[in-house]
Amino acid sequence: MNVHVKIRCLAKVVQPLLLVTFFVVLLSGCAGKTAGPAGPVFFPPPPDEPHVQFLMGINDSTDIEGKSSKFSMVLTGSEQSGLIKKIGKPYGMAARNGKLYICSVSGSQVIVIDFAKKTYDFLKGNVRGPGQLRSPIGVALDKEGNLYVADTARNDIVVYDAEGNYLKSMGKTSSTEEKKSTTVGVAVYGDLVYVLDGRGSEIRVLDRTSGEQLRTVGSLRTEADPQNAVAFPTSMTVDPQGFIYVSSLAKSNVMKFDSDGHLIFQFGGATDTPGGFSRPKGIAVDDDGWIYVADAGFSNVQIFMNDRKGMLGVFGTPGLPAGSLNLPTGIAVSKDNLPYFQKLAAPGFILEKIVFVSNQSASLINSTISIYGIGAMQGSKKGGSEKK
Amino acid sequence: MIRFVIFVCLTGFLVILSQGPVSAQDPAPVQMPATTPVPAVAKGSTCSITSCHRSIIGSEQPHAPVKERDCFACHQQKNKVHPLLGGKSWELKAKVPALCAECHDPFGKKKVMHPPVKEGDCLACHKPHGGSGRFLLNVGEDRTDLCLVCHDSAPFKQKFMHGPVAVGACNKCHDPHEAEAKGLLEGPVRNLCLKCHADFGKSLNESPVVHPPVKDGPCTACHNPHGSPVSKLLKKKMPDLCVECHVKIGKKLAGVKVPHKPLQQEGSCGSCHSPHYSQAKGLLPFDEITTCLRCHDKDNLGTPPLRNIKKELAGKKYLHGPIKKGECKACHDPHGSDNFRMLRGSYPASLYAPYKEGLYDACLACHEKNLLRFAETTIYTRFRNGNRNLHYLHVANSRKGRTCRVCHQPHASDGERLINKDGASFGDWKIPMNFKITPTGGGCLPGCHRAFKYDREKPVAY
Repeated sequence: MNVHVKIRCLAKVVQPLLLVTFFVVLLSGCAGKTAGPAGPVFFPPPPDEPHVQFLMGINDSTDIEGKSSKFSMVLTGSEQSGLIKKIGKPYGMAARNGKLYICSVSGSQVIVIDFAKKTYDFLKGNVRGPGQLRSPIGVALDKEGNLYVADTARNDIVVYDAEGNYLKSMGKTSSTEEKKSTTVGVAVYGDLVYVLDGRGSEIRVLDRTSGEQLRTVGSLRTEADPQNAVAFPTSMTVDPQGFIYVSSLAKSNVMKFDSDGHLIFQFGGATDTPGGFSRPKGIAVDDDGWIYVADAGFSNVQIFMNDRKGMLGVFGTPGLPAGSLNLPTGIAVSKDNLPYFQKLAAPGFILEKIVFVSNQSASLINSTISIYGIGAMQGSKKGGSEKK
Repeated sequence: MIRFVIFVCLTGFLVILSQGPVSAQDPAPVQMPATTPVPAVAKGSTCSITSCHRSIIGSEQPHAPVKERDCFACHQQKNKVHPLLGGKSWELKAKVPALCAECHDPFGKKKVMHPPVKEGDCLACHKPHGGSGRFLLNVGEDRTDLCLVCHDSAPFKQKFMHGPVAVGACNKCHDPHEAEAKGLLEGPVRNLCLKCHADFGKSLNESPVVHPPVKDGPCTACHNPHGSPVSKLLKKKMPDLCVECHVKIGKKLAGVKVPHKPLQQEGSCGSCHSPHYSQAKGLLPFDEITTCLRCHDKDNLGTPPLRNIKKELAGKKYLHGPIKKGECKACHDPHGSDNFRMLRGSYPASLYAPYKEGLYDACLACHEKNLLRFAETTIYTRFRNGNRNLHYLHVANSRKGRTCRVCHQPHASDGERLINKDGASFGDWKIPMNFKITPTGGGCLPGCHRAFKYDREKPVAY
């Protein structure tokens, strides 16, 4: 048997195998579902006392609405194409009143998920016109429930009412300043809107009603001491007392400012020891004052106490069959809908808070949005926010 | 005398005759049939009638058979010749303790046995024919001499003795033969103690706060039941005893710079705490502030004298928040601290001390942490002229930073915000404050500077 015959025989065997493999890969890829954990995924892992549990992941609307189709329009045609709403490159998030708001950068959308009502919607006012988003990257809500979306392509803050109708735009820089400015985040406290300028390395403080810029905070351009300024900031949040927290890429740190602009403290630094950061991105502070920092470099979330007394823990570390993060970007913390999520928790693990983390990339073992529960085992002496 | 000798010889002759001929070469004992009833008069009354064994019946508290002259209850004759020169013609019917067990209930039914009992050596303590005291003991109710024949006397010769030990009533707590509890105790330690200390037990049950070892554990956790060189029969002096369990406090006391004086005095921990039970939290005899003011109500406490806090608080319109709640330990550590006046955080001892991070932690642990950090603020204080932080102005002054006490009273005042209405102590002088508050600011005319006003909304130009 010459070589050509051998090759032909081999091809006859391999061809069907390749075809089967192709369909298997296609089906699994199209399904877009991550593998479920074999058992509860806790952080820290046993034998340590668990404080965080990975609860679930979200990749598209079926994870919320429960519609059973697992096939994309590639296979099923157009009749089901409208049923599945995917999340494209998520970034900033906000959790308020039982809802989760997700900025989908590549999808140019803000997705609103209501866990209790099992709804998954796009923002109503995001339609052609002045309310149309291009690259939404950060989202915040005011006390009336109005939505403030930072759009990095529009380079402004787009405001919608609680129903999702477009209201106005604010924070647009002048054309001369435009080239020096990139809107990368937004936070609201009282009558102030804080706009995080990535390229400009500063926080611009706007009047919530007029949109007028009042002052800047932590500006690399104006602070006499650059140690007191942010440097290529990526994310921002405001705590219940009005303190501003910013993660900076160039400094690999987190800075806390008061609303007057005073630097209260900063921590972190480019180190791989606990408490250090590689590429700190999403930042959130809960009602207990715990600070959560998502690190895209380490693919984890570190939790810190607010009085500089140290670190509380870390979760989402890579390498797990489920519950690992993959290029995490945004983060939000909530105490809403605890009964909904408690059903997903391991027996005896009592949830106190829910943490939502967005991943830039989903895979077979990573979801686009990873949801974790913070709590403690029933009867445990350790853990729990009441022990802080 | 001659008549008496003749009488004895005749009596002896008659006895020998009554026993029949006995060969001197063969003094084989005559076995008394066990079942043969012996008339009462013949049980041995003759043994003690004669002068031979007369001393046996001479005990104050004779053994019952001895009292009844029933020598045969324990003894039996093995040889008809009696007295027998060079030999014994009588022996015990059985060995001790089997002999004793013929009448007395045998021991060995309980977990712990007194070693002599275990070894069957009843005669280690008891006199078989009778003793000077009850129970065939050669002691009275004070058993000290008997027990200390074997037991080390040191624990029983201490400065402070437990009452029953002092009077030798060892058997008040111990069973001399056998017991279920360790140490031949009559019962579990706690129950045993409460049998006598019944009033204590009653109060204990009625108290809301009980020291855990007292609640569940044996009293011997802290007390030596026999005697101790330390008052209250404590195993060690306080605080050494207390810190065996309260380790953290022990470590603190070992290195503390400003100790609470009573801890170093005789009463030590007991100066403030009731060691067994109390009506108040922390085993304090009263609520916290009342406990503290039992001592801090004098003008001459300490050298130099500490302030009379009771007098300072009396009738004041405004009290410091913790005091309003009856708490002193919110600011002071009652066991001592490394800070001035046993404060929980740092606070300058001097009147002037410019602010630096950490120096005013005693106050800033509760009050706004950033109060003294920034010259300009809209957040951290209402004592400001426009945005100018007047707290910062006074305290962070690098040349002459005024401590909080210059303007504020730490405990109570008739002035709002604990402002020193009567004036701050400045040597011999009480500096007047003349502080007034308005809706948007205020002003003062103290002995420090000319009259100044401040306004948060419309800053005053000076």
